[in-house]
Amino acid sequence: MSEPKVIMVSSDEERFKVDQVVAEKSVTIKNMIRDLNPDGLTEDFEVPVSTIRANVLSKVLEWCEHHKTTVFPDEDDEDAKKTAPIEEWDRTFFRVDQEMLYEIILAANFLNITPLRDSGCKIVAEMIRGKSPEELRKVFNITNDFTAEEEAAIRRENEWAEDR
Amino acid sequence: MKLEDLPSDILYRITTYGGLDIRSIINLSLTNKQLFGNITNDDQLWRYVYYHNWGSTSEDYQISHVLSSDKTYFDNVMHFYKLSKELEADLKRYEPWGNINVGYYLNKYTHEDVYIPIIVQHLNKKHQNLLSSLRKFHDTELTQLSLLSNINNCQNFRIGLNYLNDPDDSDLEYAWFMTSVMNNGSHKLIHNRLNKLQLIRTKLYDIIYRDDLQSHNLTKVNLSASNDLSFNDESAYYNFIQKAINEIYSCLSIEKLRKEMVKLDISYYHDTFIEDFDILRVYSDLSKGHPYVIVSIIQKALYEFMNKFNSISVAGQPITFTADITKVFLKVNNFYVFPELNHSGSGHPYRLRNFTGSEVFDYLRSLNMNHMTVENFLKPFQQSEYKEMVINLEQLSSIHSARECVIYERRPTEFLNPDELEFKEFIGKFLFYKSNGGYSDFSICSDFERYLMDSNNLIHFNTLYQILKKNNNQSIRMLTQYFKLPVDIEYNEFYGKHFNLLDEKSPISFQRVIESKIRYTQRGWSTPFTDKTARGQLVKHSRFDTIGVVLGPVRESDVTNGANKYYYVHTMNKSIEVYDISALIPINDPVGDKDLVINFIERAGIEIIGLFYFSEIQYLDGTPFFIDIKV
Repeated sequence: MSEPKVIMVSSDEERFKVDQVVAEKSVTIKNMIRDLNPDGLTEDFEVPVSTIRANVLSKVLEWCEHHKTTVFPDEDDEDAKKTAPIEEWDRTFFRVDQEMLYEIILAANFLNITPLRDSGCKIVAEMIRGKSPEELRKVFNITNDFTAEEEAAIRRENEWAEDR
Repeated sequence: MKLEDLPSDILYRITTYGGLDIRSIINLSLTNKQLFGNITNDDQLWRYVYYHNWGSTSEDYQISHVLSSDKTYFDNVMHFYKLSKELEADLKRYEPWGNINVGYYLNKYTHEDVYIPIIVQHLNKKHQNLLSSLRKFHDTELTQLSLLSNINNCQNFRIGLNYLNDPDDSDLEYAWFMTSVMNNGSHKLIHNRLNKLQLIRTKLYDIIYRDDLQSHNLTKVNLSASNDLSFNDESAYYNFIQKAINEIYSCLSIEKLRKEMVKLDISYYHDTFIEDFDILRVYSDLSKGHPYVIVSIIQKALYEFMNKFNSISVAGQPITFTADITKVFLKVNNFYVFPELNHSGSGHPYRLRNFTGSEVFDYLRSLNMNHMTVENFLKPFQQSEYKEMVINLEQLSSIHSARECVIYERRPTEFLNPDELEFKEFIGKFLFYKSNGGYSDFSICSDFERYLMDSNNLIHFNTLYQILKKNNNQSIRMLTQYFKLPVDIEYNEFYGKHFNLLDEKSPISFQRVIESKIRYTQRGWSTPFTDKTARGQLVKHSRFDTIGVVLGPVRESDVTNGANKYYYVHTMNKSIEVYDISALIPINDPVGDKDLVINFIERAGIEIIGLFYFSEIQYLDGTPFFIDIKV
């Protein structure tokens, strides 16, 4: 008999059948499986993830599949997590539009897949680093809702952070 | 979904895990109202930014007062960032032997604690740059890192000396800590202290949960709710204390030292050296520690740990935990511990001997001590006695082997050179005379002049002067007369205006320090280094294995065996030696040992090399050369 699988059901009701080891990259799902099946899985286990769309869930599971054997820094070691560089594979993985990038981060946050969430956050940070407010508005399509007077005032207040 | 719609915890992670610099975070906040509100009002974020940049150093130095508690973290970050930028701009103006020399920075950056985290931040950055540049064999600037090291040293010296001049009621561990900080404690070693104490704390919590202890009658631990610790009976309590003490000592692993021990005389293990009193080296596993230092660490760790509990009870009765240090022992309630040298030659250098109250009396009486002496040995130390002990240490009068250690050639790690040792002695005398009304004669002046000529000690003159002024004893009058200084110099205009390091006629100047150094190396008086032959070449002594940088040839008239046979070499022991050129092997291509130049600079003291001699390392066809500071 084949190993029982985990079936994840997206918000738009698409079903993804994956190995337990892949699904358990999510600490949330891992805990759920352990709590409800203290003796281990004996049959397929269905988990509804009603906040995540199918195309996002598919990306998240692609990441979990790729990293199913990766050992990440200790969960409690904040410094190790912060200093861990972004892997080349992850960089390629995150070549998606911004909306998808944010949704992957949120999904990883919801499913408690911290290495995925942290990698995504680092990717966003790289897009922010070293840019002026104008450049940031352009890159992130942010609408400037300050009036000219307001903007001049907050610029003055925050002059301390500018290179002189 | 857009960036500004992300929840605040994700935004927090983007800025912190993404390692965003402050300017980038502010720029992001300036893009629109929502981000502005989310970012500037997120004090958790700014708290992180503060600790990431400066807070950890202020914790290391125990100067948390530099953070204004009546301001938000955002405002504190703004304040520190401005100061940091100011130092950055000042660093760009630095002229090692020009008008904006080290004196300008000593006046401005070494009197207030608030600059310490900023200096350390820049020091770390420059140090990282130096390492990465030298590892790639790139030309590398030295003077800015040298400057930062000097102002950091000066700050360390100030806070340590101020403490010892007027100690507060902190514990003995802190007195050792301050002594160590004063004596060139590097910011890296200072950082290791809290890391080690944290490790000890974790280990102590492990004991509480460990099964073997549970089976030894520690019956109830409730850490989550009422946080009480209760023991079945007295033997369970002392069993726990004994285990905790052993656990603390086992964290002081001296692993690095032990590795080096293979090559060393085993007597190092058993003799007491001055470095054994350097608590920061003990925390960093670089020294075995003197028993006084070991018990002070055990006392601190145990005391802080036990005070985390709301109450401690033995056999249902509440008890007050006490931990005192006596002349020989650590006394925990009625339980005594004594670090005794372990003569077996393996394992830890000390074996912790335990005694109950009655056993300790019997033990001391068996050593033919009379009742008074025993009482004296068991009486807890008073605060004033801590200081006395530290001063005695500085005077080195009571330390066996202290002097011999400096001529021991194969030290396990870099250590004091004779100049540093003498300066420590001077500081001991300085503190001793403070408590006895000050120096009674002019010897203080010649002592000052002599020691300020050594090493980079001139950077400490203002600190010493300000302390004499504060103590307001007769020494300050003699000193100001001797050096022809006004009586009341403000701390921030000491160098430059009153004490010009560029002026050869000034009592202390760069030139005079260099000349005195050469004079001291016994080859007679000369104007040093006018002949630039081989200057800046990195060399190794064929017999001693000492690595050094050539400063210049000894003049023909100073030697009997012909011209330019002997060279002055600034060595990795921070001393200047005169070597026969035939014994020197030029280091032409350090590619085989990537860290050779780095190790040399770290041991020879960038604070000295980059202050008096060289501004840069340049690689010419793979060979490193030290380039002169431009005058």
